[in-house]
Amino acid sequence: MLSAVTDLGSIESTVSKNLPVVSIHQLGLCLSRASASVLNLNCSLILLPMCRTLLAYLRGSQKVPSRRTRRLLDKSRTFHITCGVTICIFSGVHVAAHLVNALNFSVNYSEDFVELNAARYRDEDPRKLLFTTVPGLTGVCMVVVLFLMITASTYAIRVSNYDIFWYTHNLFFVFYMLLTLHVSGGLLKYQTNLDTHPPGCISLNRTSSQNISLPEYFSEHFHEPFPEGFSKPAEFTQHKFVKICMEEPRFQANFPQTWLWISGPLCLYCAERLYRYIRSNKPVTIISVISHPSDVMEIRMVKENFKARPGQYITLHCPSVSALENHPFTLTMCPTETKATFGVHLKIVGDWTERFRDLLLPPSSQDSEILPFIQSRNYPKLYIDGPFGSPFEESLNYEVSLCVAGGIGVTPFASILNTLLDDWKPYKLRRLYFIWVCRDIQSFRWFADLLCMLHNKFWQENRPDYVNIQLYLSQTDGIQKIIGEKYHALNSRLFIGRPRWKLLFDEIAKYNRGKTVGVFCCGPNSLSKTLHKLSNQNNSYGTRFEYNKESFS
Amino acid sequence: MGQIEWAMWANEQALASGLILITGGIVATAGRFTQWYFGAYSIVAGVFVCLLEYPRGKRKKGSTMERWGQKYMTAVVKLFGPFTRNYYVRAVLHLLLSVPAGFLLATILGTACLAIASGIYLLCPAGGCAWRAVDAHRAQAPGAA
Repeated sequence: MLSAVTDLGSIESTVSKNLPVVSIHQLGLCLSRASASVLNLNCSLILLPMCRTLLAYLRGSQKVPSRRTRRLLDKSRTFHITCGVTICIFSGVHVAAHLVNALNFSVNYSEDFVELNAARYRDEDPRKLLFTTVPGLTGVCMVVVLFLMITASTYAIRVSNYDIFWYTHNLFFVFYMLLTLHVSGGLLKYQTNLDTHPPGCISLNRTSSQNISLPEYFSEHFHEPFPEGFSKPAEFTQHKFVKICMEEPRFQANFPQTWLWISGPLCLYCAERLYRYIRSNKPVTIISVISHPSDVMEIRMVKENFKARPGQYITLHCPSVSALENHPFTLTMCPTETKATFGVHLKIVGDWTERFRDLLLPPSSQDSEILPFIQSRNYPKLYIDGPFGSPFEESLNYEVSLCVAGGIGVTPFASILNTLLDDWKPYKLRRLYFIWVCRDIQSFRWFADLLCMLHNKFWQENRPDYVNIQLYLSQTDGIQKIIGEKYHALNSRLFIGRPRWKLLFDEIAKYNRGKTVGVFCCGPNSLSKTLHKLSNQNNSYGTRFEYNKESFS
Repeated sequence: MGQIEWAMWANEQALASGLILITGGIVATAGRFTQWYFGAYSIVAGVFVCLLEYPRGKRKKGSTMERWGQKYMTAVVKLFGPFTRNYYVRAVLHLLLSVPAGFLLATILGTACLAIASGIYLLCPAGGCAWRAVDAHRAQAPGAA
């Protein structure tokens, strides 16, 4: 908005300097130029949050030491959407203003300054102006592209038919190419010889102006007496009351500012996509595929030079399943210095995961737990892209963290727990509250081993209060109430029913007085909202809860 | 990819086109351009399209996100039976409605957008998709764990 206001101000002053321009454009020009400058800014900024590798690098690098700055990166998707909405609104203003301009160009065709006209003759049909000039035609195409992109980007479409959103959103490249051409039309011009032909000067249309003396000129052209105090010509010339034009005005098209605005981010984004393409071109080697209860499949793989931090996610691309689709999955196990294996847990929901599972686990052996190694020859080629950052990485940087998982949402925290199992000392975290809520008791078996190992490790190192595990079974049919015979530690921490969040928050506040507790939630939206609200409430122990929000579609 | 419900996208497009038609119509009528009566037509057509497309149809699979307050219009749209249920009828209707707005510069964008929406409606497989009203009694939402 600020850019629009300042631009409007500067345009009005420019407009007043170039009087002939005013007669053609008037308000329509100001509005269209102002909205154009807002569009310039937004079209350049909107690409930046989509450079996900760059953002992941910034999140992990030492150059961003402040937690507050890192939390800004969590909002990158919201920022992208805000820029998109702004582009939409100001495109509307821009188009409306230009439609009015088109009409004015044809009606107020100026014979004095032929170069400044956009119309070729008076009363040219404005529709012809729109469709036969480069700016007009590219503008119309851009509006159509924008219309397609925006109607496919609504929340309802993203949630139900993500494909439509993804494929139409890739039209952004066409939009940028059209934008580059749109401003190259050279419609707006500025005067190059302001010194020899200042605005408001009087042109003497017969002979060269320099030889005529001023008083003669004025006696010819002005019949009213000289104003008082201007009796002498010398005094008159000193005050520069009027200027004489030395030559005809010359105009030159403005350099398209838009190119300067969008070239930087566009190059950055293209570089990022190229880097990601090169990096993901080598397929991974699948080590093992494990089938877990409640429709979950675990894939363990290795890849050369793959490094990831706990909490990050990757996207999987399997051409045998679908040539164009990429699906994001959080890493549940990150590669360490000693072990290069990393893994993801996938819940089988939807056609892509179903087909993927059928390729990896032939239906005959889907009931058994682990597949024999011989089958690895038949695994399809799998490509990964990433790793990309997420707010869950921050949980290791708080002294006390509360991690709440709903169902399969436990995956980001699984990688955190795996990292703690490996070595917990380098991180700032000193106490972790881990709450996992599931509907089906079999779901706990996904990470039951990990939780037990972690529990035992901390008991042996005499830090029993490092990890506090609470498991909740939200729906029970009363049949089975234990996870498994060997998981003693977990069975005693299993509760039936939903957690009572207020009590939990009060308890954590009481035992961590005056500290800042990081709250992380991966689960349904309603859960996220509840926790967010509770985190923002005050408590009597002086504990601050900082909610770190992750946004999925 | 074969599972894409094009009708949902066409619905969003038609709603947006209706709004564009209304805006263009207001600009044309307020500015009293030549042939401003096309602008007036455009406003009326835009309002009609918006009202028709406001209630979102029920999805084939999965839960449908309703628009706020759509149940009032759902009752009205249901009254017209096959005329509003069939997406081909809607496609043809939108195409016809968009043509008169194409004569005026201010509303020409509305024409283009509505024509595109009409085209997308034609992508629906025959007999496969139809507009079905979302019932007032909704199934139990997939609850929080």
